[in-house]
Amino acid sequence: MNLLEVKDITKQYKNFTLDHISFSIPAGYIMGYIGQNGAGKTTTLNIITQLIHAASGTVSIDGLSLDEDPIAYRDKIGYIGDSSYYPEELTLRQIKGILKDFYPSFQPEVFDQYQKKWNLPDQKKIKEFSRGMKVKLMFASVLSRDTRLLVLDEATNGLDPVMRKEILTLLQEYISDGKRSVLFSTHILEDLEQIADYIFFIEKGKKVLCDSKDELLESYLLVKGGPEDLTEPLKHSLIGLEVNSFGFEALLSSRDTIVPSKGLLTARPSIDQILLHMILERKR
Amino acid sequence: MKIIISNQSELPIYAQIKEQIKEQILNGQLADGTVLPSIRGLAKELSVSVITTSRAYSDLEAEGFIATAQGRGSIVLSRNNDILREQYLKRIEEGLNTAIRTAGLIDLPREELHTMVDMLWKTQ
Amino acid sequence: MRKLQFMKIDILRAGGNKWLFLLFPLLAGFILLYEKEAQPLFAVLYSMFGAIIFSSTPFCLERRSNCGFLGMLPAKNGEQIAGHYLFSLLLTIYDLTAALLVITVSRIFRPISFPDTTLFLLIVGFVLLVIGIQNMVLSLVPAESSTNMLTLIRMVPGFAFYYCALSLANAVKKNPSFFSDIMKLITLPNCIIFFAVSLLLFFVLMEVSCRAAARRDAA
Repeated sequence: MNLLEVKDITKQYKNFTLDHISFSIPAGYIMGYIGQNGAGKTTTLNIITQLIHAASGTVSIDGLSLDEDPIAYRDKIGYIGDSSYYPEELTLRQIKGILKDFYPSFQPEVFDQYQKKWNLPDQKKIKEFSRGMKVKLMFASVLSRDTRLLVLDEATNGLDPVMRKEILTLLQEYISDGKRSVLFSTHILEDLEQIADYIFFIEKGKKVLCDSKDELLESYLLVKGGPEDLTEPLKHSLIGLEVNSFGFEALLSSRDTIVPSKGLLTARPSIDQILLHMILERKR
Repeated sequence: MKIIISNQSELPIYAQIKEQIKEQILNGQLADGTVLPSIRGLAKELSVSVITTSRAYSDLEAEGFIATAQGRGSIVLSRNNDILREQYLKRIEEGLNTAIRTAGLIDLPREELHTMVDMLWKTQ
Repeated sequence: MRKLQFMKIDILRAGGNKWLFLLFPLLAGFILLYEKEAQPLFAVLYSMFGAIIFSSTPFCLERRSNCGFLGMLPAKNGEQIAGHYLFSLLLTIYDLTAALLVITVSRIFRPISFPDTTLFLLIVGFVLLVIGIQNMVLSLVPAESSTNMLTLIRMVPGFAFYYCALSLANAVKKNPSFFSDIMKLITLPNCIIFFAVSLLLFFVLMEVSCRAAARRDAA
């Protein structure tokens, strides 16, 4: 049974529609959720964490949907966003008290350990916390509880590389028992390059692809060449062609039988190169 | 066990892991019965995805180098097992083919090649 | 239980204002000391005016951004609103206590008596009803409406209550027979019943708001 099952969710806004999005994450894996700004990433995540309601479709975690038991459902999710969601006038200690009151699985000792590790002040108001401290507090609160799914919405934006690496390690630690999963929406694709097992790419509210990251990376070759190398038969097979005065860059499907000529440079693409060229291709 | 991953390599990451482990088994650096790190543990240590290490391990298992028991991890198989023997035989063939081809380049007669093999065998 | 925990959160958030909540009782205190004609009931009225206005505070805090954390707590949807009601109740008790303290202190300096129990119960009962209805209206206001609209809704009940009380007092002064008619109704047993019913209705309104919110969010 999959840990997270999203089936056919839709949501209608004035200028935007989330159109029948479906995907699932098996227990013990990390899925990267990527797309341009406004593609529908945050909407999808908000529906999963039940901050907003889908017009249709279902979401279930460990077989449980929100309608069946909203309290148990909310207890299973740990959400970390790119901005602090704590009331600014509260202090860390007060928030710890609220966590203790509402979450039966909350462990104050674990929370204290994180607080000590990251030097988070006890009595300062949240509004005086730096961005990094706010993110750390969100992680501390979420990791001190028993959750099944971690949902991150651009949680690593604006953090320094050391902190980002620490978070990636935390995420891998989180899934290491094989029973919990992570849904990670981010623009910082090099983070996903390392640790993501699956990638879901959304564009204008619709699914573009959903694949294992390894397979995705192996499905394409990055091809670069000079203007003279851009022959007609080659052009036909290229995906997301980008041309400048000195040459071109594009993707080629690995299954393509076109033999790249001598002057061409081929390489393994990174996730954001794949993303870029696929978007370019769809724009044509 | 030593594993180094290069982002610049032509080989995909799972293949790099597989090859490096394979190499160390064939060299004897990883002895028979050595318990390898778990798939998840390895993924965490190397900062790669679980699917990547899973694939490396399942390929190694298919090629007869390791055996994975559910819940108990993976161990290096004895180098005398059949599938592994195939691999070794293949390696020997490759080495011999290289020697034969090179001999052809300088027109070395077959008997001289045999003599060389006997001499080298004695020194090993 | 969770409703009480939400009330606790409201106290934490609004707690910084605890001295502000004493503003009206304290003002009443000053007037009691210096205004010759002041009645002790006036202190109670003034405090209750404050309680009505400030009990809308949790609803306003809810509308600030950065409250996603509270929305994600594992609780039913209406329970946060129930917490607001309980906060109002607590605030009312807080202000009443302050008013009584203020009267006690004033008695040292002026020959005033404690307010009549009958009228006291009448006023508090009435206030509970006003707050109950005010809270219900506030809970129904959608999250996206402007803050000006919200401010208006906050101000109206308090002022309406105060104005009504004053008009009634004036009408009574001008028309003593009207007064005696009403006074026949205002007996201690009736007022106790009135107070009990108001308190009951307060909790009924709380439950209704709670269920309405739950059903609304599930839609």
